[in-house]
Amino acid sequence: MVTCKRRLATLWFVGSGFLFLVVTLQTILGKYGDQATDAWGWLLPTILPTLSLILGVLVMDARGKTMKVEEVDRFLFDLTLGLSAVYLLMVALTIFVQPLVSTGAIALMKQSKLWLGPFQGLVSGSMGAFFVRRKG
Amino acid sequence: MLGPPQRNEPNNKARRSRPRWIWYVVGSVLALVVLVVLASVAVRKQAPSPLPTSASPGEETGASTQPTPKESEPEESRKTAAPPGVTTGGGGPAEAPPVGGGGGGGGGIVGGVTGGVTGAMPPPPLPTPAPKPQPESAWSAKFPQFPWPPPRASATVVLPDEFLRRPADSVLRWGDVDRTLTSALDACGYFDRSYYAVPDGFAIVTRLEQMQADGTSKAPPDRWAVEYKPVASFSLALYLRALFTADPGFYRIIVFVVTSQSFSQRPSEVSREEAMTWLQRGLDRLPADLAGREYTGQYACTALIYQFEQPGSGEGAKLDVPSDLPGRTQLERAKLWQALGKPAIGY
Repeated sequence: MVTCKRRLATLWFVGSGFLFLVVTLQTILGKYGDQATDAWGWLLPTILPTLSLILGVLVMDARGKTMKVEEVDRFLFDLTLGLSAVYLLMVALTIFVQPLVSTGAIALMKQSKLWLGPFQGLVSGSMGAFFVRRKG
Repeated sequence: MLGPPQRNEPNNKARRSRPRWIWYVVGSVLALVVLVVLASVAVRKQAPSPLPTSASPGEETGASTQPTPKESEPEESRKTAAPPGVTTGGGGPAEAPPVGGGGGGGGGIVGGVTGGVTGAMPPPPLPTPAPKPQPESAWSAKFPQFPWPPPRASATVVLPDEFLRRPADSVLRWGDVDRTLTSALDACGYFDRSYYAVPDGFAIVTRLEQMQADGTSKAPPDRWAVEYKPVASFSLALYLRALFTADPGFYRIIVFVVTSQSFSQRPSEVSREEAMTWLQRGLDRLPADLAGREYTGQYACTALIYQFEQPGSGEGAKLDVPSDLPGRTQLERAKLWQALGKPAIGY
């Protein structure tokens, strides 16, 4: 279980860190101009809730305050990992496809909420169930 | 990945399973690359024809009879800019008494012609020589007026007289000046243009073109595309530049104003969309009635450059006032300055 959490955390922190780096560079280099607030206003709610959940659980684990679960359903883990990977991929796609489409960067980010919103719900659901799941 | 149960997982198992989760990350990165490449291919396949067709001359003429609010707005300024009865004497006093039934109305050219028609009445004592009577013809009603005074431009430059006046010329006509300008425009690829009337003169408006930040014209077909794409033809360098930098689009419309009147510019700014309509509303060529008019020493040709900047694709374009590039530099980068300076070009 601990290994699974760490793998998920690794995926999320590596993926999110990469996206943070890209958007930070874009902001510094003036990609968004005076609309940088809008860009960050899109990125942070997209990944921060899940990161907070993961970090919170990891901290609780480290302090030994969570119930140890020794077994984890393999299918649930694979599903969570797969959903997370695809979700992060779609967030990345929204950023990396910007130069290739005629829609403006901020407009594309706002538009992406249409598909990222429901997807985020699925990811959060599986992550939440995975991380707070306790064997009775 | 993980096989249940995983109780007290030994270290060697963890080591064996490590490569598997790495594959998730590697797979995600590969999928991202594939998606970006597919998207770029799709964008290249889209490649819409960026060359909208101009309205036919007949339509332009017809449209010109319906003056827009912007055109009709500076009525008072036109009255003062071209006093009736003074067709070629641009320096004539604005308070010159109106002659005949012109009533001071109409544009500068129309006013001037009206003054000429009514020249049968005893002419008032004017310091300038009496203009040759020129009958008012149908063009005066159909020749659309360029907004006057012109809206604030990003850059302005008065062309050197030697560009238009060759030493061998005894008498220079408006038609000659038009030929010089259109030859230079043709040489630089500005094939689409339209003509407007200005007080005691005419104006040539070029089509909206895309340019680089340094003022050089983009290569076709991007040059004439109304909407710009940061990565029109895919290359990694272009892609990365578009990904990390603002890479705004720059547009330009050049208006050559040939008139004997000195003029200032209106403080109001013109939008890109409004400026784009100039091409459709003007005439396709200089009316023959005007081509024979004499281009005296009081005339000059002023280039007004309207430069627009679009922060990103899909966003609105704003007029750059003033432009970072002076008017002469703009014409040099568009190669018009050199084309106008060539002795071979002209007539």
